Amino acid sequence: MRIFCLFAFFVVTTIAIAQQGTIKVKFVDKDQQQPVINYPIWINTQKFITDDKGTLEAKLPYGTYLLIVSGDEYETYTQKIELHTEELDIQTIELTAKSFSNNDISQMSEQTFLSDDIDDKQGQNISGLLHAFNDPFTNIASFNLSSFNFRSRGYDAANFAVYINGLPMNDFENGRASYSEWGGLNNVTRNKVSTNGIDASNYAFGNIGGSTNILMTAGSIRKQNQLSYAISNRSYTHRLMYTYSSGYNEKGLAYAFSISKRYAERGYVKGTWYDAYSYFASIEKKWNNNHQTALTIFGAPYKRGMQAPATQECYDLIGSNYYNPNWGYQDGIVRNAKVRKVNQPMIFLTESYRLNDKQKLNFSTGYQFGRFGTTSLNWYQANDPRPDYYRYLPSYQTTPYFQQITTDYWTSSPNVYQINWDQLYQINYLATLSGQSARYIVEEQRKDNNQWLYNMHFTHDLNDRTTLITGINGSVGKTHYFKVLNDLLGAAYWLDIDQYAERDFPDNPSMLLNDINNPYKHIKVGDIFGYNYNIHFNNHNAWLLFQQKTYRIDYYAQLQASTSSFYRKGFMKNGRYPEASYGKGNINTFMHYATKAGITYKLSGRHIITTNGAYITQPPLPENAFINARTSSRIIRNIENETIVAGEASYIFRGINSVARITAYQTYFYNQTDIRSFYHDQYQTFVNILLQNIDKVHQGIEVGAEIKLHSSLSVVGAYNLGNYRYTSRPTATISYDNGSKADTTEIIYMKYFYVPGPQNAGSIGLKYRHPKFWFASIHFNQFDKNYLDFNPERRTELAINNLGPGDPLITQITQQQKLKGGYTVDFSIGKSWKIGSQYVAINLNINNALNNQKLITGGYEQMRFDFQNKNINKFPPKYFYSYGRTYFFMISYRF
Amino acid sequence: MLTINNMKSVFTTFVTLVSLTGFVLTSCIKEKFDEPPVNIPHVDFQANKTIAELKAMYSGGLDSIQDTIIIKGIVISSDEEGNIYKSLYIQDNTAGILIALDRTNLYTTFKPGQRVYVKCKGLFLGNYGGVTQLGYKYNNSIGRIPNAIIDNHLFRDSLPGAVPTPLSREITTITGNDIGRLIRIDNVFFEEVNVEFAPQSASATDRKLQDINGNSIILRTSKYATFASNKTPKGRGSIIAILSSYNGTYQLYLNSIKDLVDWDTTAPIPSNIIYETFTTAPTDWITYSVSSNKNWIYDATFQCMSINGYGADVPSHDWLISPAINLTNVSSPILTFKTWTRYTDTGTPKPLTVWISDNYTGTGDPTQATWTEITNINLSPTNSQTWTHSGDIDLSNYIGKTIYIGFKYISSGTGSNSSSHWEVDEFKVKALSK
Repeated sequence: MRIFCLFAFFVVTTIAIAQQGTIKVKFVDKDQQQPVINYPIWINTQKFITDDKGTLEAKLPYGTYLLIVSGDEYETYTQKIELHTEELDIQTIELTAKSFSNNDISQMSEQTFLSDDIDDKQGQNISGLLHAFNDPFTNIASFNLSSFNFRSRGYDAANFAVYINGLPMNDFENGRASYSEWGGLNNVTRNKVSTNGIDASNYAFGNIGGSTNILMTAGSIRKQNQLSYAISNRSYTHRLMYTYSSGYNEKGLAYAFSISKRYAERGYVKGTWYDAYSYFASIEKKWNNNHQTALTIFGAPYKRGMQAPATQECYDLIGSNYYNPNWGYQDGIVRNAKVRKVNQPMIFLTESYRLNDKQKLNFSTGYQFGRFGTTSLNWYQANDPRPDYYRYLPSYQTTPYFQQITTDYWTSSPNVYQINWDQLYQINYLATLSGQSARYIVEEQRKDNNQWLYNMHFTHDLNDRTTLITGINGSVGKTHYFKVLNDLLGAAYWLDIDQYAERDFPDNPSMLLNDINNPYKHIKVGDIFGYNYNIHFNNHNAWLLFQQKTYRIDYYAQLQASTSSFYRKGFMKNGRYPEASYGKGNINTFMHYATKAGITYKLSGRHIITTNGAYITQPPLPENAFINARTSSRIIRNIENETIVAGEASYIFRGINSVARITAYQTYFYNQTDIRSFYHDQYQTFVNILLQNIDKVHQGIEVGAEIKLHSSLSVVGAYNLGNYRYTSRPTATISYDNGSKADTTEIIYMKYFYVPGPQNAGSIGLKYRHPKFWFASIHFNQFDKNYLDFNPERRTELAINNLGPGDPLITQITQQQKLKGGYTVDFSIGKSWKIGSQYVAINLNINNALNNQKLITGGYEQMRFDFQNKNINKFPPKYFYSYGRTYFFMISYRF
Repeated sequence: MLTINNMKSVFTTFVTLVSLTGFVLTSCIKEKFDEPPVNIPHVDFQANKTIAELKAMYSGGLDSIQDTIIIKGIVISSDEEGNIYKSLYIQDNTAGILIALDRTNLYTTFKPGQRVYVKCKGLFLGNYGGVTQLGYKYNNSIGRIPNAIIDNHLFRDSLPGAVPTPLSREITTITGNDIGRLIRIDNVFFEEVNVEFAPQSASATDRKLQDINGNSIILRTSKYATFASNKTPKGRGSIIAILSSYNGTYQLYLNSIKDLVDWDTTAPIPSNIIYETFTTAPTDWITYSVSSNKNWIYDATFQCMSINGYGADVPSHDWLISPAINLTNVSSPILTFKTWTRYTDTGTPKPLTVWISDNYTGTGDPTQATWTEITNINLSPTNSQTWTHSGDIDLSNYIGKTIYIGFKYISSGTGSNSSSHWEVDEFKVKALSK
């Protein structure tokens, strides 16, 4: 209600009396002499999109303006405009296509993140990747700071919304968008519309971190015929990519397709490999000037051998911070136990109608399906096959002498410090000889997604200054979670029982069964076992945006009402929860709302002040709502919406030779939920720690600037000064999967702890661009104030009981670890040649040129704690390190 | 569908597609791995000492093995069911020995029946609870061989073969040389049936196995055994287990619950039909005084039944009669009890006699019933003041009947030398029952 009052207030009070004129400008591709369509153009801070003839018409009050072209496909272009007439036709501006991929953000996104190899939440990083636009800070944050695991404003990836032609791509269950679903399709995902932070978003509501809408239909992709080959030493070594886009022909038809292969026998980290394809095909038909339809299909099937983080002890023993415990030799050949195999293609249809000059209707619907699987070792009544299991390490030994001989042994052979596959086969062989089931297997944990997505929005220009947009979007689908046997490693079969339950309940034989309906089933390769259930979900959002632009003031308000629901449907009757595991569980339904609003005040065309605020409620993510969906449909108690309150204020300067922005932001998160599960080898069970009532504040200042020193030399800089803290003492429910211990509740004393991830980070660089088609740049990047993710159980009364006041152990146990900061230097250089109508370009990026291999970018404390002896070194933290020096060399050919 | 205008572009596109396809087809990550060849371990050196010889070398304390000594043996233990932990027992024809190893799930590689060579140089011999074991130095006493060096000392040879036939033993024929070996004892039963092998309240629990002659041996079970919560079975059978000893007491360790073999849960085992220790005054016993004002009384101090005719009004004739004892559906019923006496009744050679009746009514005057005296029993010698065990009294003649046992006391007078003091305790009838 308050928002509507606000609306009314502005509508009534905004009386635009200034004289207005229309700027008309047409953009064409310099090489192809084709219109540049659907491309973002800024006039001061207002963003416009070129129409299908490459033209832009903007009605603006008289004044001095700066027209800026800045996107992924064309070189930056700026022009000063004096508008003092009713109509100003600037005629045609020719834009030069980027021949170098020095700012190819999507390329970085699939390249730099070793954290992408990390399975759990802590390692996820995709934020900001897709947010390259006319803002020096955002460009630098997503390009130069991403290898530090820097996340814009410290937000979780779920706080950044990603859409493809309006279809919501954030996973319903974990909230995150996964760029790997369109990895390798760089040339067809360049055309996108982004907002940073809180801003009006005219295709969907977005989120507090910003939103990106990738336009992936044939007509919106620049006409091209391009082949490129890249060689690198990051996650892949070779990449071949071919893209063809026809542009519209006389019949109003446009086609585009792209295929690529990315490949590495061995990535930067030993034992990792990469085998990825991607494909894209789209056809778009312009029926008339007011109606067009596009059908698009794309997919990026990939397989990769993954990396796992380890403790510093392992890194030091091996002498490398890139030690990867996931692999071992099998008959002399490197084999990785953790292989991710994904194929989630998507097909979608878009329709756009221009009803009249003032009204537009956009409609998209898509279907996404496929498989997402990760293999891992499993074992039964046998020793842990992971070489870095804590009991195998010298630190587990109690005397210096035993530590010494264990050190000598552990480092003696890859058969010890890596997985000893031959030994696993040997043990299975002996088991088969004595008629037993497999002792070791490779299983694949699957979560196969299957969803229908839709978006429809209606844009109505009420008058020249006022726009009303309303829309609906959502998703309906299910995710099928199950385990499938991938490799018996020479054994005859696997027995589907829970060995963790086996010891605890010898009197209740059904307790140990994962599926009472199929007791003691002999599992063969390809059989489903362990767990098998669906999470069904649906999410529907209806939103409204009101936007008005006047001579001095622009403002908007956007509202959204949503409903979300989810439930679990089990296909196995679990022996530990026979009543709560099989069949359909309770449906959990949530109503939630979001609002945001902002005002921009233009002191002049160059000095702009803008402020935005948002209030959002949203339900807990399903992955945080089930106590353990693998065994039952039990839900956490008192499940309710979380709340986000966010505000930001910016000062923006736009000169002819410089652009700068400074933003202060403050965001409160209330009543968040988180769940962490880990294997407790003492109780031989999975333990789930459910945290409820987590409150956080993210506050800080972002500064970014780009200053042209000379026609071909500019300096760029960005810095984020952050303070991200937890502000509550959450309640933790600790639940043992096999029921061997009763649930306990603890208060977690984590108030004022730091949210993990670098909070201070910045970069300064020089960019040189020679008129004769070559360029070079150097960046110095730095990060600091990075805190380790922590184990909640160490911050409980129980963890420090029996310790007297002032005992130094108390501090050691409860204090959060601050990680070292660091810096890197990046170089890039490139050149292009025009040969007739064809282009050849090469470019080379060198990241972390000083080869600093000691940059901890993240990690986590292990979830186990030695409550008896309170020895914090018994389960030391695991870290991941940023890559050392890497290169990326690409040659591309346009014809 | 491509709008390609000239042949040159077509050709270029063609070359592009062919090269792309070529690249795609030639570079694939191998995902199907060959199974590694089966590794049949083989040892190319010889043993130079028997296990008995190695054990004989032990001189006490912690004994470092400096010489190149190699033994070989067959694995007889398994930690699969958790009762054996971080231990490997091997035996040869001469002896068996415990090797303490700091590794779990040994059964996955050292299966029962596996031939193992042990290079003993650098290891230690020590003693735990009187048993010699092979291990490593830990805090100056014998400990486990660290995981890090196990592979330098233990070598498997060939695939696992048959588990050695256990030595057949009676509880009474076990000797110290059997320690560390697999033995089999037939025809034994649990003293306590239907109780957990090892309740979780203690780290390990001793249960007694008995033979039919009443000899017993300890079966020790860890609470971590998967069968710890199983109940001890009824009936009789055989046990195959590893023999150990703790401070001179033999102990058996089961590898697996399956090593209780040929167990006949319907086989009769001895049980007490009645066992009265008189810790409280009995309510179902009958005392009947035929003459005198003295009678059998309950002695709360010594917790037994007692009678003394001294100081009575007339010479005594008093009966103490057991409750009814049902001997149907039993075999080999045996009666035992203890007696104690003081003072000498010179006028009566047998002041206490023991009788059986199968027609006593269970109440009132015993002289109305037919009683048969039990001879061949040991009673406490006159004035000995010694508790004396009666010896086993065979009641086989009364199988199928319900009987009463009567203790008949008489005195020749009422004073010293004409009366005596008798006490009866630990009255028991046991029999084999199903």
